[in-house]
This record gives sequence, C-alpha cells and structure tokens, in this order.
Amino acid sequence: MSEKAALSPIVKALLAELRERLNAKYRQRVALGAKIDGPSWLRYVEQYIAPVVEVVHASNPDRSKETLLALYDVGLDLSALGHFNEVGGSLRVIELWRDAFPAIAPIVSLNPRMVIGSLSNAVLYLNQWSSNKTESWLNMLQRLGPACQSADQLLNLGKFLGWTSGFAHMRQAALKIADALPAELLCSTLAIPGKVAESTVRDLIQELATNPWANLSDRSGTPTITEVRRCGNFRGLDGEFLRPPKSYLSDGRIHITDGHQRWQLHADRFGYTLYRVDNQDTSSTSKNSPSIASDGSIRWDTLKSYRPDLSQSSSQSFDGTTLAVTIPTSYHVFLFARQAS
Amino acid sequence: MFRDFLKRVSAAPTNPSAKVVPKEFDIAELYQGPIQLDAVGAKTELPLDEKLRQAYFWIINHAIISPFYDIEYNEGPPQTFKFGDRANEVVLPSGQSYCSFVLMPLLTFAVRAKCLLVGGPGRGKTSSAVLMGVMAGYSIRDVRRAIQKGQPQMTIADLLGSPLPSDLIKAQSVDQIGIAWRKWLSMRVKIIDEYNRIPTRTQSALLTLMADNYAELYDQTFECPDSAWYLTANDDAGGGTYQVIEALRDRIDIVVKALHFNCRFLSDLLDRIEGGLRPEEMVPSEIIFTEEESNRLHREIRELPIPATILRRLEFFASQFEYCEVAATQFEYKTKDTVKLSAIDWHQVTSQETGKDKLKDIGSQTKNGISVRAIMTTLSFVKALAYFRGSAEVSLEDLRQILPFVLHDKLVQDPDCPFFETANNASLRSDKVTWIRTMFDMACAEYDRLQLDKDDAVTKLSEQFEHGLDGVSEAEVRKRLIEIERLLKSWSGSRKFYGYMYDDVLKLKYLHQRYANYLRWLSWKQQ
Repeated sequence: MSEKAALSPIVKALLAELRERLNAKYRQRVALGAKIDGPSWLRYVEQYIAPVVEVVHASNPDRSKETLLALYDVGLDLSALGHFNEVGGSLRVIELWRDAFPAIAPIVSLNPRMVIGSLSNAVLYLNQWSSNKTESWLNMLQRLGPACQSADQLLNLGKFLGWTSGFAHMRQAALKIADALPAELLCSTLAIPGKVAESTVRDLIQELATNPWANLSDRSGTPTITEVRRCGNFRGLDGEFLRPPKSYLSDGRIHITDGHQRWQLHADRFGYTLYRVDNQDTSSTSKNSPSIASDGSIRWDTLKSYRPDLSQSSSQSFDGTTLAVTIPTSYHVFLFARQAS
Repeated sequence: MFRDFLKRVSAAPTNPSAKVVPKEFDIAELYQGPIQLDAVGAKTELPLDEKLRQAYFWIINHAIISPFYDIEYNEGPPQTFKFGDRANEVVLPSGQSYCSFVLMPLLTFAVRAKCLLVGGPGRGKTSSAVLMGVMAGYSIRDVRRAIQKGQPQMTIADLLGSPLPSDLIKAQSVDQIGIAWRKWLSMRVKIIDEYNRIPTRTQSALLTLMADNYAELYDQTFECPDSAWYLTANDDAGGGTYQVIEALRDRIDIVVKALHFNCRFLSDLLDRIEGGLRPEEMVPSEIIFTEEESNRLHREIRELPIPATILRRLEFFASQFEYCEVAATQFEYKTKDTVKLSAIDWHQVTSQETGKDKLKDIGSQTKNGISVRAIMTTLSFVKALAYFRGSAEVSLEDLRQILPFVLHDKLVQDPDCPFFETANNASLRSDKVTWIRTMFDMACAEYDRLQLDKDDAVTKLSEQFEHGLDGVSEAEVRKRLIEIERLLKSWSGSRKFYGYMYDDVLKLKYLHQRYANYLRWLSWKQQ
C-alpha cells in the first residue's frame, strides 16, 4: 500500500486550484488535535481520492470539484479516526474507498457529500456486526451500484443489500424500500437467474415478506421440515454466548439468552443477526405450534422429522415461521422451517 | 462550509445519567456514524436540553479555552487533595461538572436574562457573548456590528438611533419626526462591551432599555423583543471610566468572572494562531437555536418544577438577611433597608446589635437583604440549570450552585463582621462565590438542625390558610388565631432572634390579621 501512485494532470490541476481551501481544511483538523500524518494523508489522497476524481472527471467533469472536496472532507475525518491506517485501520473502509467508490463514482458525484459520508458510515456500522458480511455487502455494492440512476437509489440499494448480505435485522426496512428499486436491480440482488417479469419479482418480494425462508429457486417443491440455519457460538470461538443458550418468545419474536445477556433473533434465508435487547418479558409458544419432542422428533402440522441429536432440548420457541431449538450441550441455536425442496 | 472537528458537536446523550429511551433498530442507523451528513432530516431532532448541553460542550471543547470546573456535582464521595501550609483543597468531582464562565452565559441565553462578564482583558468575555449571538441564529457579521462598545463619548443617539434629518426640518410636531432606530435593538442577543465606560447620561437611556425593554427618543418608543443581554467590564469595582449607576447594576441578573488563562494550554493558543482559527466563525448548525426553538426552550425551562422542600430552603436562606434589630422600634421597619435609607453609618448600627451570635448568624455578614428581583432571577436560573442537566425537577445542589452567581453583586458584604476575622474565613472577603455558597451551606445546616422539613409550624399554618376562608366557621377561626398567638408566645421567650424568625413572625402577624378581619366580617354577617 505504500507505493506512490502517479497523479493524473486532471487531478493535479484540481488540487492546484483548490490548494488554499484544501490546505486550510487539513490545518484546521490538525490544529484541533486530529492525529493526521501529512505524508500519509498525501498518500491517501493519491490512492483513494485521485482515482475517484479521475472517473468522475471522465463522466461528468462539472462534478469533479465538488466530489474532490467531499472526498477530501470525509477522508480527513476517517483518517483522523485512524480508519485509513495501514496498521490498525479498517480494511473494509479502505476497500470501500479503493475499490467501490471508483466503480460507482458517476453516481457518487451526483450528491458526493451525502453518498460518501453515508456509505462510509454504513461500512463502519456493518463492520461492527460482521466483517465477512460487510465484505459481501461491499462486493454487491461495487457490482450493482453502477446500475443505479440516482444517489437516492444507490443509498436505497445499500439498505436493501444490507439485508441480502446477511444482516437479517434490516429485513423489514429493506422490504419496505423494495418498491423504490427497479426490478432488474432486485433480480440481481436476490440472485434470481434469467430474465424474469417485473410482476414475478414483486411476487417474490411479497413471498419473502410473509415467509423469511421462501425458496426463491424452487417454489413448487414439496414442503419439508428443514434445518434452515444454525446461529450463534461460544464467545471464545468468535460467537456471542458465554453458556449454552436458551430461546424464549417475547412480543411474538424469538429471543435468546445465555443467562448473562439477551438478544432478539433475526434470521432468514440470507443470514441472521442477534440484536441485543433488555427485555425480559416472556410468553410461551401455543400448544398447536410445531415442537420437538424429548426423543428428537419434530412435528409441524402434518409434517414430521427426526433429529436424535437434538433430543432432550433445553428450550424451544416458535414465532410463526421459525422453530428455534437449543440443547444443553451446544452453543448453537438450531432453526427449523417449512421449506420446499 | 467546513466539515471539520470545529464543526463537530458532542454525541448525544451528553449527560448519560439523563433518561435514555431503550434502543430499537432503525434502518436510518445504517448511514449514521462519525461522518456528519448534510441532508435535512437525516438526523432526528434532539430535545432542547440535549441541544443546550451539546452547545455547552462545543463551546468548552472547541471555542473558549476555559478549563475550569467550578460548578461541581458529585454522584458519590469525591476525592480531595490538600496542598501547602494552608491546606488548599482540590476536589475531583464524581459527577459531571461545569465551567461557570461558559455555562452561565449559556443559561442567560436560555432564560433571556442579563449577564455581566467581568475579568481582565483578553479572557474571552466578548468572544463568549459573540458566540451566544451566533447561537441565536445571527451571522457573525451582524453580531459584531451590533456590539455596543462603551466609550466616554458614547451618546444616546449612538446607542438608540437618531432622528431622520429630513423629518427634523419638515416635522410640525415631535411625533412626526421619524427615528432611525439602531438595528441591535431588535436583536434577541444584545451585547454591551465595557459598559462601565459609558457616560452616565447614556447609561440612563440604557437603563430604560434594560429595565423596561423599550427605547425612547423624541416622544417615540421602540419595543424590543425579549432578549439575552451580555455586558462586559474589565473591572467591575469602579475601575471603569464612569461610575455605573446603581439602578443599572441592579438590573444585571448574574455576574460571571472570566478566569485566568491556564498556561498549560498555551499550545492551544499557538494552534489557533497557526491555523488562523476563529471559533465564532465556525459554530456548527446543530447548536444554532431558531427563534421558535428559543421560545420553546424558554417555555420548557419555565415549566420545570421546583419541589416545595427546595423552595422552603430558599425561603429560609433568603429570609436571613433583611432583619436588623436596632434599625427601628416598629417591628416592620427593623430592616437593613431602613438603615440604608436613613444614611446612618453602618458600623454605628451593627455595634449596637447584641441579640445574636455573629459567627453563626449569616445575616450579620451582609449590609443588605435579598431583593425580589434577585429571588426571581434565582428561580429562573435554578430551573435553567436543572433543565440543562436533564433533570425532571430542581435539586438542592442546583440551587446551591446557582446562588453565588445571582447574588454576587446583589449581596453587599460587611467585611468587618466577626465571621471574617477567623483564619479560615478571611479569604471569603474576596472570594464571593465561595462566601455565598458557605452561607447557603450554613443556612441548610441550621435548617436541618431545626428539623424544619419535618416540623415547620408556620408552613402548616400557611397551607391551612391557602385552602381559603370560604365556609370556615367562627370556632375554627378562633382556634387558628389562638394557635398563632400560642406560637408567637412560645418564641417570645427566646433571647436570640434571627432573620428567618423575623419573616416568620411577620407572616404570623399577617395570618393573624387576615383571620381577625374574617372574624369581624363573620360577626357582621351574623348580626
């Protein structure tokens, strides 16, 4: 990362034109205690800012100055917070600036301050949950972002991708903004192969709204009880739980506790998140709900399944679409759903 | 349009002890973070108390180098350290504490009061006032142009405006003369720099403006909006070019001292010089109050309750000062005000007083009592302080912290009082903030000793009276009259008589008179 990138004449000219303003911005931050190293900052300008400005200049030269100023401002803030540091920095933030921004630069330039700031914040937010899922989100943004027609559409896409990248707690919000995204973009996001009619895509979204485990590739198959996901792990193995967890129902939603902390479980076909909460109200699952018996047999209406490894479950709860099962000897939460196969 | 650290305000909540709503996921969180965005509505609107705290922390962290925490709050036992032969004590507060030089001007802005900033040159008095102007939504240029700079040649026309020259020639009567009023009169923040350099005659015009909120020229008046006033003075003890008229001084609600510059912060000054930084030009939009917000802020502060127990403590404290036993023969005139109006030498009066312990009696430490205006200011500011801290009601500590700043120029100290002769108290002659706070602590200790929270006969009788006289029987009135007389009789045996008892006796006399009049009316009705 330390090699010096050559600045194009376009960027050099812009930097020369805005020299006083850019220098003042740098000086003000340093004067107020921001720890920004001058030579490092110059390198960041060359590596992360200049490539984006060049792309913007090639597609929409009128927007290049504003884009440069926005990149410079937000870049200084991120640099002051240490996110660009080679040691101890944030790899995902660097990837956003180095790889994603050049790819979506023409859209970024439509509202540079808002898009650059929002997406940088988004990477920092998502990375708190999962670095791998953030990487997936970044890859999708880089791949699908150029198809957006406006900055608002790009930001809506970012929200939708948050859900499909595995941040399941964003599901409801993402479903609400699906109408604001074109069908082609939704198809690509949901990885639906081939050319599909817009009405079909909207139907799929509807189905996902009612059934988080809907099988988008085979919707006509025979339903079976399927283990759809395994959530959580021992904290020492990069998980969340200090003790084998137990599930309970509160406000109609599955919650998990390890005796120390409580989480609301958000899970669907794209992934899961454990959202920390304070609530302690519990309610029991109704008698007619799917359940697992002490011998490991699972009953779901007329469907049956057998999981001897989950016999003697320590807890189980059902929220209408998902059955969560825990056992005393595992740090996982086992999730079952009816799914076409 | 700077998006730098100077533009950054502290993240909410700035006082985490304040109530926090349990967190629910909101998709807007995805795009919120350390990078501040432009979009209107991208951020949820903060409560005004939080906005006020953010303004405070922005000023203290970025704008004014005043690293002092003299308004101390504790949430547990604080650590203390003593230094030197005189055991100078330093307290490390265990709660969120504040710098009076920043907080008091901010509270003045919130309650639209009048604040005097005193201190040597270059300590940020004018800058602090200018910041308040910018926070009220005015441009830095307008605020600077609106500052009234006190100088010996300042005329009333300089201060208020001047008649239109054409009208002076054409007008047939005075009321036909149009006045070009000065723009600053209509602003919600008014700044008078070095007010003690204004000539006495112009001070009188300023007094009308400050006291009655209107300006008058050529029989015409200009009604000013409610505003926060900031006056500055390098030396408030008579060092100005002109003596400040007493009525004008009395209109000042609160006095704040600009503390010295801590040389350990020299590098901050250097950074500002090198960076060409002027904080007042970079006030973040998040801490600028619109006129509507300013009105709402004022209203919300007024609505904050003061518990009856706290109000009673203030009553007890304030009632200590007016009584002067030898001032008159008639009981009602036994006040320091009587002595002052008669122009008798103060020491001649105090030397005759024998009926109390002058080390214990805080009333003997002052030459005057507390005015109604000072009490009203105290009530406004104590509400503002509690509101600023995010409290649901005023606490005793809020009152303890605010009193010294309100009474700083209102209570005139008697430095010859024996109380100041003891070694520990000598420094209180010059340190008025600690002096007033010490007096309040002494009053509270006395209040506790007398167990007035549990057993306060006058409060009980007052509450009984406040229920009204409608339908109260003659027998009941006679019973209450006897109760009052018995209480006065029981007190009359004591040889020591203090200020708070004076107000209590007068209150009992008032109640007695009201009941007696009612009784007379009942007798007439039954005839």
